[in-house]
Amino acid sequence: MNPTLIKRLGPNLLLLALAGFAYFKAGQFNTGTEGGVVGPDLWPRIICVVLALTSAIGIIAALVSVETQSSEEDEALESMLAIPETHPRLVWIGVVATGLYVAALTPIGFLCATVLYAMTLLVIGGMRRWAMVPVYGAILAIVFTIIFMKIVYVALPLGEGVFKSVSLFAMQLLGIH
Amino acid sequence: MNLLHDMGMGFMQVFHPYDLLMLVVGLLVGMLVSIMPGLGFVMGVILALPFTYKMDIEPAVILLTAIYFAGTYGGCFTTILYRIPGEPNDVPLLWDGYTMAQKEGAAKPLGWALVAALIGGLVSSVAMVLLATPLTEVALRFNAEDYFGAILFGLTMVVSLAGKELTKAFASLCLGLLVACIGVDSTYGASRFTFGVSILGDGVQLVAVLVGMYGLGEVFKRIGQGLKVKGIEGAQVQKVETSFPKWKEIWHIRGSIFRSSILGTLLGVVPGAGATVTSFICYGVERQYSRDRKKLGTGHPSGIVAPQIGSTASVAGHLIPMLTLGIPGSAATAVILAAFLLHGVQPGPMLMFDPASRLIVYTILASMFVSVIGMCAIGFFWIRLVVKVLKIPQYLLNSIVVLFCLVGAYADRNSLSDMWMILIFGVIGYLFEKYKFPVSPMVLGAILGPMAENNLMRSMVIHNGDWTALFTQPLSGTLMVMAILSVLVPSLRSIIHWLRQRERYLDARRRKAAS
Repeated sequence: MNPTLIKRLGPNLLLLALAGFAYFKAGQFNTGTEGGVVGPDLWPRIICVVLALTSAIGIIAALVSVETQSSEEDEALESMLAIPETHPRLVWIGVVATGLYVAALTPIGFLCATVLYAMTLLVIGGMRRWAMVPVYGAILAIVFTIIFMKIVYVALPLGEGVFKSVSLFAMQLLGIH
Repeated sequence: MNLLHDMGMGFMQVFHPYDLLMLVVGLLVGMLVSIMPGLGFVMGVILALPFTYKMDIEPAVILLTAIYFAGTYGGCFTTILYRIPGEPNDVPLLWDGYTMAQKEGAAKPLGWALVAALIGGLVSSVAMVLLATPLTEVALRFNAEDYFGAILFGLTMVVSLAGKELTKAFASLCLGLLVACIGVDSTYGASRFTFGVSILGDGVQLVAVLVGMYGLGEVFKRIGQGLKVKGIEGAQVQKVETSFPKWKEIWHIRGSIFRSSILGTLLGVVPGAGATVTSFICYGVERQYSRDRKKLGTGHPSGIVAPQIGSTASVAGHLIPMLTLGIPGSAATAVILAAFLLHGVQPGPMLMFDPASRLIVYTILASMFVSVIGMCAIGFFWIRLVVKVLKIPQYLLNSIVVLFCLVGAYADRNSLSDMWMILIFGVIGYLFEKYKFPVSPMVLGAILGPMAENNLMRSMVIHNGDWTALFTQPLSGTLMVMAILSVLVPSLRSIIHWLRQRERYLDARRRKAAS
């Protein structure tokens, strides 16, 4: 099977499987209604059927599609709007970094976690002035702490143990009570 | 008289210092986000959303509306000056705006864009203020079937405007509707798709879907593109100043102004026809019917005025169905609807009944006029300062946006699980962009899903499970047929197009084999 076909079929197959799974799960809802009466499974089941039909049409379209030439106008517009994806790995590094950041917020607190996360984002974004990366990271963390804790009054996580002490000390310096 | 009185009260409220401050802040933010490549007005309203949690409803909605209005105008500066379309709706401005700037300097096309934004904004605002009460009266007569029909029609219109990607748009919509099913069902109290996970019991937060799909997903996409900005290379930078066109010049293109104002306002009411669709259609109509159609693309004022009027006029058009029916037609109005819901206010016809909420509606309507005039004033006087934001490095901008998305969503309920949700929807948003699935149908599906389901279930209960009731009542029947047609017509068109292409392809193969 050629890779283009797999790329075209993949999402539709996944959606078809999802529709089937959701339809099956909808059948297990505790409806509390007797047979023949509409229950909480009706709407999800309708959606699942429509999704399954749509995916099936997508699969058929992928299988019978022909190589077509888009019009010059379409191509010009496409080239004006679209920028090709050149760094797909960076995206996944960003996703993992974001996951680690959210996981780290409770143990190490907002301030420390944000310094590290902002540094990671800056490097992922292409910043190569290495000496300035921690400075920018710290500035971003402080600015966001001030905005959300002092202005919007959000109780951001302080962290545990030594990190809590660091957060409280920083808050004292920033005048956040 | 009532209308004038209500509008007068609305204007008085808008000129309260705090509301006016929020309006000015909104206009500046709207200008900034639409000028900064990679952001845009949808991102602008999303980033501003957390700051509205602690505000009253009026300043909150005024802030978001001002961002939306200014966002449709600010992008013209980078498009005309640097050949960077800040938003997709600015692309048609490249053809005549940038070309005119190269030929005659940037001041003139910027002046045309300003006049267009002013006319488009004011004309559509007047039209929508006049339409608000009649639309509310119609909406008040809606029963459950009518509401279901109206929502379904709105959703299918969003899908039908997806162009070549109809099946993908449909799948996206279904996913949004499924996401809206997660949690405890409001009619029967049954737990649905929660898989025993406690945080799913409350359902998926609207903010998580919006911020994840539009905010974080967009950032991930841009990281994949190496944070490149289209168009900035090789662009001849122009001096930033604006000069108004002469009255005679404006009169010469009165036809374009008239057509685009009407079209922009009407298309704004159509769900799914956002600023981009409206701007392209207005430009396309000028290319087909304008007296000077052959001159379009060579730096003609009609090519600047038509898309700019279309973009700005669509904003008021989108706000009215959201305020009177509670049905958002675009991404930005979906965020504004979320702001209403976060303040415990359900937009819809009942808003106009209670004097207090009626004042809210007219304050928002009055703020549209002040926003349009304010954004043009900022565009004329302060734009030299505003375009300086282009110097902010992309890596810094990107980091700021990500942090705003995550911390802003956390601020809603002080819940880390919301951050996880945003990450999940951010990844889904990125995959949608990668595989060219439109994002808007999913988001609108997630927002309107509960409303659609509640009305369908009410109708089913009233009519003892008889689904034909949806088709037998005059209004709901018409809306249902329109909804079906809005999907069938583009589907048939796609099939015919495909059959023709297949024929051509087979012909080419036969000819190749014969030779």
